[in-house]
Amino acid sequence: MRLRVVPYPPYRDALGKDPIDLDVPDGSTLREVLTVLARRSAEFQPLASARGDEWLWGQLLVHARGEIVRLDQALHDGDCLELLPPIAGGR
Amino acid sequence: MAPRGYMGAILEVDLTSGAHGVRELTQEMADRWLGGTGLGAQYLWQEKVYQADPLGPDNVLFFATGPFAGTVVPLSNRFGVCARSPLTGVWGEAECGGHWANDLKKAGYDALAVRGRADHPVYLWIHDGEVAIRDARHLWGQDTFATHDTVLKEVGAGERRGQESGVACIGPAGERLVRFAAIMVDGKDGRAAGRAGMGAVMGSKNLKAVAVKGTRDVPIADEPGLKRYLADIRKDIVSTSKGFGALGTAGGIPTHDKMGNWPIKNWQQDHFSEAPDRISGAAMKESILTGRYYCGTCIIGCGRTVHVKEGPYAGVEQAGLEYETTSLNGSNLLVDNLAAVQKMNEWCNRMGTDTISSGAVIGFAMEAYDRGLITREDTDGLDLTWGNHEAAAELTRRMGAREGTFARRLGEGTLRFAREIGGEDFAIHVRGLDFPAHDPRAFFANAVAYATSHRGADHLSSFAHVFQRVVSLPELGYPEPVHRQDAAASPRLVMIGQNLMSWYDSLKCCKFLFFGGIKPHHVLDWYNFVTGRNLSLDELIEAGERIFVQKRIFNLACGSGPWDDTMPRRIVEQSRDIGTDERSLPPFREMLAEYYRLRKWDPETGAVAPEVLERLGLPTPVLSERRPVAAV
Repeated sequence: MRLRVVPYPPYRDALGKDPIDLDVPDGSTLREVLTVLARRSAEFQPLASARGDEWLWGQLLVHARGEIVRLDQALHDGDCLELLPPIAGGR
Repeated sequence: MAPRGYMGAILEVDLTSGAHGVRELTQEMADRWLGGTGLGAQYLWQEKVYQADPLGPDNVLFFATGPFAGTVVPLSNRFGVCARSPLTGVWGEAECGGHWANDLKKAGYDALAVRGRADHPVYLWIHDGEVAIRDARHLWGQDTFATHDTVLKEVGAGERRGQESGVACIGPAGERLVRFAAIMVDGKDGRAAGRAGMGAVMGSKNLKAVAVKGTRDVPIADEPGLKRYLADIRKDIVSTSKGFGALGTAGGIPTHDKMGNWPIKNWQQDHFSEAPDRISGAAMKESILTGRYYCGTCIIGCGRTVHVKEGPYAGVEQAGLEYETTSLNGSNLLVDNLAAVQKMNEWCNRMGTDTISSGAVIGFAMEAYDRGLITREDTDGLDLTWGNHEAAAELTRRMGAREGTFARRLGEGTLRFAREIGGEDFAIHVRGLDFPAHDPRAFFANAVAYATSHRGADHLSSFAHVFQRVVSLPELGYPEPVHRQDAAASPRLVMIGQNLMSWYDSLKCCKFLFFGGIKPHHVLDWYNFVTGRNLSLDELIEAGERIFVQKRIFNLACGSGPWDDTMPRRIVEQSRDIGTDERSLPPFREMLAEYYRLRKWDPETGAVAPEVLERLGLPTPVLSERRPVAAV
């Protein structure tokens, strides 16, 4: 299946600012996509090896259709994955 | 003997008479009220501060640490300050990090209660059990950077950070009673007790600064056990929060824009997609960032330091932007000039104003200008067109200095100004406290949270939007984060979040521990190591519930109840694109009704069910006649 990956700052440093189109096996999970990205940039290796969602979300938020994607969530053909920085709030 | 984790002493200072003394902090008080503004809730209630003029001598300004201050527990060098708010007329509180709380505690005091009014400007110098009221006439009129540095010299600064005395002070805004004046610590590194006008209360007492230094030990029940426990966990906290610490709180701005969360054009606009490239943490890193800043005992380091070296705002060198400041003074005003927003931050910090309320009232004024309700004649010549950062920066300065008629009027706060000009419809507040930078249309829980928070629109008193996003609470029935538009789950989540945060805020933990993977059971363990009380999570969360409901009772006695648990029409009638397939509006009324049912609060009168009061050991609320907020 084909996915589009759109990096936002600061991930453009590692991946460039243009969207990336990836061909991955049907039913690939986010973790598997991060493993593919890790081949482009070593910065993504620890993210691909994340021990859990909450740890990942402290480093990177991946959105698809406005929803946060989990590590072991299967993706769909045509998904656009936005790589966004982690968020907090408060002062 | 002092309860373990505490010094057993609340320092009481009467600035009218110049007398000071100590009220004992007993084990029972520690168990029931924990510390921070929990202790403040009990104290202010006992002293009937709900009857006081917020800017009069009978108001009590209460600074409090918690049981973790002065220990090795990370992210706990924090204090809370509370009083009746001059901005809202109801419960007022603000929380602050930096380098101050540990020194008050190690000087021998868990809390400081200031009442009365000195007949000339003074500052307090509190060190190892000694208390002095010193003349501050030479400091009056100075900004907070200069005040901090001068007081530090006068009381004796140490060789390096951590050995210095802590100085909490006000700037011209507090002196001149700007209703959203802040109390600042750490000078140009700028940590703020920003919200609800605590700086104006301090100024109304002619109190310019409180300097603290302490070397005493805090009694801890099991320090070796605590150290062993923390040794294992510190690395995890740093690793989990790494991404967040790398770019600071403003690092997430691209995400906030995507999620339809941050304020844009006084909450009118869905997205400001060109702005994140220019005014986010990443943009700061590429341009003006010079380093990171850590509050005392912090290991995450979300703070920034910056230096603007070129352009019209060259020369700004101080604390870097936080998310709230960047939003309310950037996107909220359609300003995407990083240096300009940083300049506004500097003015707020120097003058001592709340960056949230400062940006909010300017955003309101810009909309009023856009609508023709005010003209350039009214604005003392400032062109308040959306995006005009020069005008916004100058107005920020003038408000802090209380300079000029227009700035004086805005210094009364958004709601009072809105009432003057007939703009209440687009004043975005609850109880007169301006919205922080999280949209309830993006996180439904915040609709209920803002409406029911004791100090007004406040995302921190429940932190529910975080539990609707990236943090689970398995011990409290949430094995996964709740979906941000789950209206059915939001009321209970808000109630649980409020009880939990009342507990955290009273222990004086930084909430960013959650971003380091810390869960309530970890904090419970730390509490039991420090105090030796061996309480259960349920017992501590019940203490949090007691504290939250006590503050609600305070508000009822001020004349503020369910009639003030409101949402601005813009937020419940104008939908927002939050990046999902459909535009979003929170079903506020239904969620609020369910919240009242869960809390067992009467939705008409505000009465708290007798069985709740009995269980929590709280007084029956004094149901005063309704009084408008922001009118005292």
